[in-house]
Amino acid sequence: MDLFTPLLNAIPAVMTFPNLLAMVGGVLAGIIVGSLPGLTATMSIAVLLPLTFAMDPLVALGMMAGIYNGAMYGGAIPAILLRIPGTPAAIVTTFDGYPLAQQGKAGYALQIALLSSAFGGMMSAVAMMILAPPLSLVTLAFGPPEVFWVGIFGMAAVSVFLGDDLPKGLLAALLGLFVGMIGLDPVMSTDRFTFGALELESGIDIVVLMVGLYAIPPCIDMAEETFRKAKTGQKLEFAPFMQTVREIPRFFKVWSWAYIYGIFVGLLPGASGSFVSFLAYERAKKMSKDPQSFGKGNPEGVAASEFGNNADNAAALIPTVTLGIPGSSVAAVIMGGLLVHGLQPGPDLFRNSADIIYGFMIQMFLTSLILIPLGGSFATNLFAQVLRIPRPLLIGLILCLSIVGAYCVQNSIFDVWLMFGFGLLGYVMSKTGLPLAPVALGVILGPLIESNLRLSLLLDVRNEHILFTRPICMVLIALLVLTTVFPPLWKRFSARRKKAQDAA
Amino acid sequence: MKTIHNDVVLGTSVAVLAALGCWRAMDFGADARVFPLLVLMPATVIGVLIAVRGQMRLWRERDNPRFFVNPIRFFQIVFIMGLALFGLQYLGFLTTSAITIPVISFLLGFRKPLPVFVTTGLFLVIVYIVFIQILSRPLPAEIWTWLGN
Repeated sequence: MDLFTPLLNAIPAVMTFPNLLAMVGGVLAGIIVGSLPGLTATMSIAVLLPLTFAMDPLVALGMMAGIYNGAMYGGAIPAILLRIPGTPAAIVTTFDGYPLAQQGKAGYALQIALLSSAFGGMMSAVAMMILAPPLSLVTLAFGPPEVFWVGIFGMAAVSVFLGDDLPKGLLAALLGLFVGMIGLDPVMSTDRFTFGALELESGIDIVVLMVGLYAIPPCIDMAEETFRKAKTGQKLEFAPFMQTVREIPRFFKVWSWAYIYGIFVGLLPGASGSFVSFLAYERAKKMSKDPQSFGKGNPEGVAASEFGNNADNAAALIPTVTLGIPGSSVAAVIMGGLLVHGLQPGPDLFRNSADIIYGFMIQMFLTSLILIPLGGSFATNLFAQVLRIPRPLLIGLILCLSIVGAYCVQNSIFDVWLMFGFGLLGYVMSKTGLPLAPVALGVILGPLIESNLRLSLLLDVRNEHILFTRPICMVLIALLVLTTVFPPLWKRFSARRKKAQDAA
Repeated sequence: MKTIHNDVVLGTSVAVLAALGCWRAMDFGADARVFPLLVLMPATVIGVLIAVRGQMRLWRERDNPRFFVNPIRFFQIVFIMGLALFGLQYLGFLTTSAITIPVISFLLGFRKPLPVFVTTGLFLVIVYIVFIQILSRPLPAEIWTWLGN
């Protein structure tokens, strides 16, 4: 398959002024939001999504790509300066980043984080360019029964991988499927669970759900916690940037492993950047000649973590754009963005909207590249000051922005009610250990799963049980069983072994 | 004092609501009820499972994770959300935001008027320019337009 022609064709559309402006704006917004503890890339894209409604789809995607890559780096700023990970994926960065900061090398640690994030993101985008187009062709062999099982597999994988508790993960997925079926039934137009509300007949809008689930709970959490005193401005003591650049060859080995983990985990629906960071960090520690220095300020620890959590950025979008199954919660929101702009993931996306999807891949690459100048010494110093924004003020701003975001979807106050309702639901879920991503995924995949199930049953006129007997279906069912049964068993086995070791 | 494990409340609520959903789904047409039942029946079972497991944990470990970190702050935020919804309907978006942001800030302990009002003003200007002027999104009508009419 000719990979380069569609990529080259997409370049002129990407290089327009509004596009470049959206990417730069997105990266800046992403770094700011990512540097604020408690606010994630998912939340920022969900809140800012309504801003993109009136934009050209490619401009909107450029902004989302910028926010995504910017936020993944932004999370390293408080992780290094305050030992508070700005995003969940930056947890591992605190292990060595904060000790480096305490040694007076905060600027140096931030430069390593910046370079690792940027190169991780760029390499991830390259993997997406290479893997996504052929994978999208594979999906041409999929009929309704296969699509049904792919949807079920995606739901199961997200439920298992996101969270420590299988029943709660499954319950969250079922909750998402339930929310997705509210409204008129797609085949017979039967009114389902609308309780007479006309506003619910067209179903729950994904943007309203996302804003509620992802923006409101952090606001309540921030309000509940005792406010940490704002950090006073400090000089970060940057080393000359080129000096850090010259150190890059030292990190090649660490980056290579982080890259492999990032791509592999990114392809698995549900496994996230924080998991890649842990894997990459452990590998870097094992490979190091001085493993004792990890956790005490080894720059390779920061490099492994930051490269790892960015290496799955674009990779997590591969199952999203090819199969319509988001690999992470950010990917679920970006998929919501694609759907809002009338772009249906799958092979048709590559055929009918090639300029947009290939343009998006280029944007994922460029926004990682833009990170280097935008996140450089001056900017990082500036963004570090963002941590000084008083939380009470921030809560009010996020709440009002969420209101305007939810209202703008259909110019309906009912949607604002719904958004707050989902916000409270998200809060209860986070307090009771129910993961949020399966809900979002359930709402997106629910209608797809249902319509393909019903189509499969209609197609099965000769009662051949096509849902179970077609070869791809059988492979998918085997994968489904492996995904749901193996990880909990492995976890139990590891826990027992650890217990036995502790006892010994 | 007797405590109830969070999971018991969660599991029982889910099981009861899912069972009610199943009962309601039985009224749908033959085709339309297949998927709801496929979703809600396992949800009922998992709800019961989570509730039973939570109760067993409480008996075994006598440990129940706290639900609220600070209930007063939680209810303050919920109250403000209700107030904002009310205001949105009758005062308009910009007026509601002009009230909500300072009120939250003052309630939660940040009481420096200058930064609060400057930030609120900046936010309103940005929303006005982006949503009303550039994107032409009709936000809920402001109270002064009602009064003017």
